Amino acid sequence: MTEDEHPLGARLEDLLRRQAERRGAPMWIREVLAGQTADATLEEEGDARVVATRAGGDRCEIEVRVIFATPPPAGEKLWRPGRVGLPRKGLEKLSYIVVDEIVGDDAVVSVSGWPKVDDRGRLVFSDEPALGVRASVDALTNYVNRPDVRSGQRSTSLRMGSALAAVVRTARLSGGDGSPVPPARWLVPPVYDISTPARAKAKEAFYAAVAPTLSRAEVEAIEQEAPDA
Amino acid sequence: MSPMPRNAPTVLPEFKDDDFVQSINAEDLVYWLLNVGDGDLQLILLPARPDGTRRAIVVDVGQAGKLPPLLESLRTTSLLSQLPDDGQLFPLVVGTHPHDDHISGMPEFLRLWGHAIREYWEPGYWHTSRAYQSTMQLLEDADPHIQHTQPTSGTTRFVGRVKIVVLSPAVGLRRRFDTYGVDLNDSSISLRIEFPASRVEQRDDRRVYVGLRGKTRTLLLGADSLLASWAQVLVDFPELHSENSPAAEAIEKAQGPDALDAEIFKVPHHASKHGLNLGVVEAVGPELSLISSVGSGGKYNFPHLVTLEALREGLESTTSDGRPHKDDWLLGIHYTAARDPKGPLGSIALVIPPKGRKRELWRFRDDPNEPVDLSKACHLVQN
Repeated sequence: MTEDEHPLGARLEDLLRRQAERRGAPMWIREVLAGQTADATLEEEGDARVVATRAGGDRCEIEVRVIFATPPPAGEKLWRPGRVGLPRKGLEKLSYIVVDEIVGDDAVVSVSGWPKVDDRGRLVFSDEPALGVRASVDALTNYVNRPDVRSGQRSTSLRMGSALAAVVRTARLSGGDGSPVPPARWLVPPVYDISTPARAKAKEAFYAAVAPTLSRAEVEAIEQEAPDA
Repeated sequence: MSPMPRNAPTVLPEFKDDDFVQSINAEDLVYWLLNVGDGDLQLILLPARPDGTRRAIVVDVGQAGKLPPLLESLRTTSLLSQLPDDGQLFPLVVGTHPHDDHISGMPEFLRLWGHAIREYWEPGYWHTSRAYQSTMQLLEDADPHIQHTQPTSGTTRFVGRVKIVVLSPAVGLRRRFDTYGVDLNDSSISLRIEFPASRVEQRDDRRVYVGLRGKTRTLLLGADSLLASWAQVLVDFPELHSENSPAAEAIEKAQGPDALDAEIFKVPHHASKHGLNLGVVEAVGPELSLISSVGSGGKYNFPHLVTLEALREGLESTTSDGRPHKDDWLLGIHYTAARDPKGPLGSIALVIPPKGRKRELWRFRDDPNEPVDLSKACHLVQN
C-alpha cells in the first residue's frame, strides 16, 4: 500500500486541519499541518510527538496517541456471588466495599472496583488503588438496614470483614477534615450484603496459598474413605 | 514537634544534615519505620554477613509506592546487597495482620520482590479485603519457594546473628481465629528482635559459650496488638524472680529475667486507646518509643492522648507528685508525623551497632506520599 492509499493518513490530516481551525492556530501552523511546511523545521521526539519550529522561536507540538482497550485475559469475567440477589446487569458499576477496621465508634471502609474472577475462580481486582472512607458504625448499620436501602430481608450487622456491594459516589468519600462521612452521601441504594461469599473467597484464597489445591478425584477419594480407615 | 498539642515541646530537638550511608558500619543493624501516615512499613537491614552481603527483613507494607524506591536506593548505595540471583535477599517477610494500613502495599512488594523472599509470616486470620485476597494469590503463585508460616507466641527464628521471637498471637487467640471471635488487630504478630544472637565464640579449634545477657540490642515491634493480646503476652512471657522457685531461677539463668524488655519499642496500634497500657510500658521499659501515625485526626484519630499519657508515665513517673513530663523527644518518644520549622521530619531510621557504640536516630523529611530521599537525611543531635 502506498502512502497515498493509506486510508488513515488522509483522515489524520483532515483531523489536524480541523483542530487547528477550531483553535484559531496561526497560519504558519496550519501550513505545517497541511503538509506545506513553509519555513518550519520538523523534529520527532520519541514515538509520540513531532515538534515544528521556525525562526524567531515559534513552536508547535503535534502529539499522536494510540489508545486501545485492553481485552480482559481469557477466562476472566465479572464476579457474580450467588444467593445475594445482585442485579442481572450492571455488575461493573458496583463497588466492593469492606469494613476493614473498627476503632471505637468509627469504621474505616475500603472501597474497590468490582472484581473479576480468573480461570481458577480467584477474585481479581483492577490496578486502581482502593479508596478509604471513615463512617460511624451506627450510622452505617442503620443506613444499610433501612428498608429502602437494603436488598433482601435479612438484617446486616457490621463487623470487621463485613462486605457490601453497591454503587458508590467515589467523589464524595472524603470528609475533608477526616471526620466520618454520612453513608447516604456516598452509598447508593440498593446495598447488598455479600459478607458470606466474600468470606468464602477469603477462605479459598488462604487455603490455596498455604497448600496445593486438590483435584476432584482426590476429594472423591477422601470423601469415600471409611471414617475409621 | 509532637503531633499532640497538649505536649508541645519546650525545647526543640536539633537535627543535623549528614551522610546517612557513610554512617553505617558492616556490623550495624538498621531499623526503618517509614512515614506512611496511619500505617506501618518497617524494614530491617541485617548486619553484613562474613562475605559482606547484607540482607533485609520486611515487617508490613502499609502503603504501595514507598518501599520499592527505597530498596532501589539502598541497592544503589550497596547497603542492600545485589545477590547473584537475588535469592534469599529477604529471608523473612511479615504481614503482621491483614488490615489495609499494614498490607495494602504487600501485593506490589510481592510482585516486585517475591522471587527474593524465603519465608512469609502471617497470622492466619482470613480477611475479605482486596489486599488480603491479592496477597494470598501472589503467595499461591510463589509456591513452593516462599515458605508460608503462621507463627504463634514462642516461635523463634534465627536469621544470621539476629534472633526473632514471636510474642503474639498466643495459641489461645490463634485457636479462636476461625470463629471471628477475635478482634483482627489482636491477631497481630508482635516480635522481639535481639542482636547479636551469637552465643559461642570460636577460638581456633575450640568453642566457648559467651553469656550476653544484658549486652545485646533489643527491639519490640508491637504491630497492632491490643490489650487482649498483651494480656496473653504478659502470661506467656512473665517477669521472672529467681527467689520464687528453682524453675524460675533456672529459666532466668538461661534466658534472662525480662523476656519483654526492649531498648526500642514500635508502639502498638499507632498508640490507639486500646493498644497499650501502663503495665505493658513498664514491662518493656524502652529507651526509644516510635509511633507511626498521621498525628491527631486522620482516619482513625491516632494517637490517643490517654495512651500517650500512659506511655509518658511509664517512662517517667511524675503523676503522684504532680510534676509535668519532660518533652516527648527527651523521653525518647518519636512520631513519624512529627514536624519541625523546616517541615516534616518523616521516616525514621535507627542505626544500631552492637553494644559499645551509640545508636543514632535519623529522619528523612518525607511526607507519607513521597519517596525516601537518602540525601535529605539528618540525625538527632544527642547532648
